[in-house]
Amino acid sequence: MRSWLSKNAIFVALAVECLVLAVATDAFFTVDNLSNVLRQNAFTAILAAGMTFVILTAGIDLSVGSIVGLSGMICADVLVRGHGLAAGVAVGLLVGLGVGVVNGLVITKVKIPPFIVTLAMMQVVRGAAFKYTDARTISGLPVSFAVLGESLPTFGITAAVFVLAWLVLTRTPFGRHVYATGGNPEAAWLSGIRVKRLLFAVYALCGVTAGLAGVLVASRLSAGYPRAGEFYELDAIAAVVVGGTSLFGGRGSIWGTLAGAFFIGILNNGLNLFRVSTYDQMIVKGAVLLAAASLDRWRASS
Amino acid sequence: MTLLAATNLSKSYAGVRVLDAVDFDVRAGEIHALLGENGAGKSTLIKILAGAVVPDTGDVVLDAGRLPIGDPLAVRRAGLSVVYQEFTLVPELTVAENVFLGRERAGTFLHVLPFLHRAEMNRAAQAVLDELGIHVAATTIVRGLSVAHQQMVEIARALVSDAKLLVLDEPSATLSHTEVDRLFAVLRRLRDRGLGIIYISHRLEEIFALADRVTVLRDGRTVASVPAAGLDRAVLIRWMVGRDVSEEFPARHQSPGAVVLEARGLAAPPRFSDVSLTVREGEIVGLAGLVGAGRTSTALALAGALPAKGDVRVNGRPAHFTSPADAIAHGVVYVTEDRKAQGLFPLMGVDANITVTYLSMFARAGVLSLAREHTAAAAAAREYDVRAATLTQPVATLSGGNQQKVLLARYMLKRPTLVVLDEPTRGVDVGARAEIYGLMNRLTAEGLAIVMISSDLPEVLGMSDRVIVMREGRTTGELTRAEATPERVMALAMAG
Repeated sequence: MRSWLSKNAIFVALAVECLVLAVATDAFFTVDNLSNVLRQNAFTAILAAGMTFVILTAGIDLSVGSIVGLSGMICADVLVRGHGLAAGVAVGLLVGLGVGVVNGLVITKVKIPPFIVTLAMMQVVRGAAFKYTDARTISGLPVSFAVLGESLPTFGITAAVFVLAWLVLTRTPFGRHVYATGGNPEAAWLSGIRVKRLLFAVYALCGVTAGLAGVLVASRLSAGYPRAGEFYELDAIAAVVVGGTSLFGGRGSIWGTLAGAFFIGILNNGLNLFRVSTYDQMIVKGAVLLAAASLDRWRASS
Repeated sequence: MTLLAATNLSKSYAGVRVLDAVDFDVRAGEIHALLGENGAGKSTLIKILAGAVVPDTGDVVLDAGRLPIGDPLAVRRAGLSVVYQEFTLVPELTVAENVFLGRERAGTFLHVLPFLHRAEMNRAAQAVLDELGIHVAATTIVRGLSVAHQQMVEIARALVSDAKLLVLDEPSATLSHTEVDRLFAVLRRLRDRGLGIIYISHRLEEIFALADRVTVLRDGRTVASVPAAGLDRAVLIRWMVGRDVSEEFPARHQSPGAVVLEARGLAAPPRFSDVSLTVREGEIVGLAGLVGAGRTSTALALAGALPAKGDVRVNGRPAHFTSPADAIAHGVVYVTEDRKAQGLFPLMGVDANITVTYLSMFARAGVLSLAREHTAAAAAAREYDVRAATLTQPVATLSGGNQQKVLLARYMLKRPTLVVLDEPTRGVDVGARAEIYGLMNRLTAEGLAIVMISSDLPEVLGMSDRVIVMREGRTTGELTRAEATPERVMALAMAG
């Protein structure tokens, strides 16, 4: 029972949270509100899906929020130049891939800790996003592009990302090796896992999901906005940790991450419905993150 | 005089009784051996004494005072010090700084500013080191010391904190023959000074050589607590395992085939500089030598885990592996001496630990078949006699012997051509040890070539078809099974 609860804490917490809000407020359990919550948090969820891979290897990627900004800018630019939807989306994804590849190369070749590498890239990439248009917003995107950011397409894409991530993590040698490398990198290397190649792939993959989120955010805003995605990396990391993935690597699940993202999203929504001030909300969210990390520590030691 | 008396100690984890109403006592001036298979409750007992684990019931009295329960620091202050297998030294500090760590001698300058009595601590630490009879300067940085010397620093640390009772957890596991002798001399001297010593080891010959009294635990209960003099080896083993196990090594039928591995002038300075060896199909080649002779580094180099120069051929083809993955793909695998740090995935189950290396065997078009993986893991666990409640049981909860069998099962999943076994029975209890020897015999009968590194001389002599001896990074000689006597191996292994 205790171990079941510790493994499934986030799902229980999410259920309790929904139940409380459904009972305590009239506004929560309505199609409009729920659809809003889902859409608002889909971007964080997608970022968190890629981040789950990274954190499972005991790494971190602070650059994803900046990638959202840059990939959205370049995607928007390609679109306003009239190159078509497919080209815009592809370029957005490629920007994410490119930054991820750089992260992966520096981490595995120069052997600098991921925290520092991605912290630096967070600055570089955000700077590039501003420089791209001298901080001007790119507007006038085709109407057809805005469809991506509407509720149903966004839900569909999010669902697809998570199902795919789940398949990769649980049904491919690569996914198993992610867990193994996070759990014991030295044993992983000695047992024949190509650890460097794997870490490289993980950061590249995280970059791609960030690129995808960037495209969706641009579609939602119908604009390329250089500040887009600011602090999203923190939300994504919070979602992964609240979702029960261990910052020490090797332990966690993709569904936990999905639940973690929505737990935080619904918490925001609930606090809004109760008219809790923004400042108090920040304090509550920080406390939740601390509680989740403490639970992780407790799990690791028990 | 009774120094330590533990009464009625019980402890359960998740409903499993690991310690069941155990009474245990140690007298002053006595070396008391604590024996038992892995899982018998030895480490739990030690952890309770050390204050690291709180027992469900029971009391511990040290020197007429109740020992604080669950407070390691207070236990240490009360006079009980534990030297664990993994040392707790700070590598970047000097010997003296480590010896006085946490109990530095300090004064105040002008009654305000604290400062350390560095010179005084150096002098005091040096005095203790000299008393222990080891030639190490107290101002040496610990990082550069041998394992044996680091152990002595741990013991010195216990002595300056006025330990009355010293607990040593498998202190000889990483020591060479002469180092063990030196350790024994030190322990006897400490005993004669009135210290109580609890000594844990899997090596029976050490118990007979050293202990005054022996307590045997089995399944969390005390089986016997008797004077060591006049004890019969076979009886002791029966107490430990609860059944008769022939401790002798199984007979080897040698039929070496074609040359599998040929290494000439292998070098990876400064770890080793000139290693040559040949291994044939169906052969066990023992790699003997003192700790630090470069055996494990040689093994790592053969397995692609350490870059080395020299000429290596596997099945006649040049083999310069650039990674363990590369070596494994060419049929050369290395089974580590350090299961916990380098072998196992503690968060994963027995099944995933077995299949991890050859996982792609169970994938079609990149997608794993969990059913096929499970079937293969189950078959391997059966074949290698891994005893686990379920295949998904976390591997960290298995005994040392079963963990070792998991590693063997992992690397045998796709039959390799050469296996390097590094200390294959370290931390493995007597029963499982015999089973691992049996496995080695069966695998070589099927044509596998094995290089076995072992610091256990009886094991080297009992299992090897040939013994290659290393000293200070070089191979110094080769002995056939008939030629290999303890004296000849040691002569090649030691300088001079």
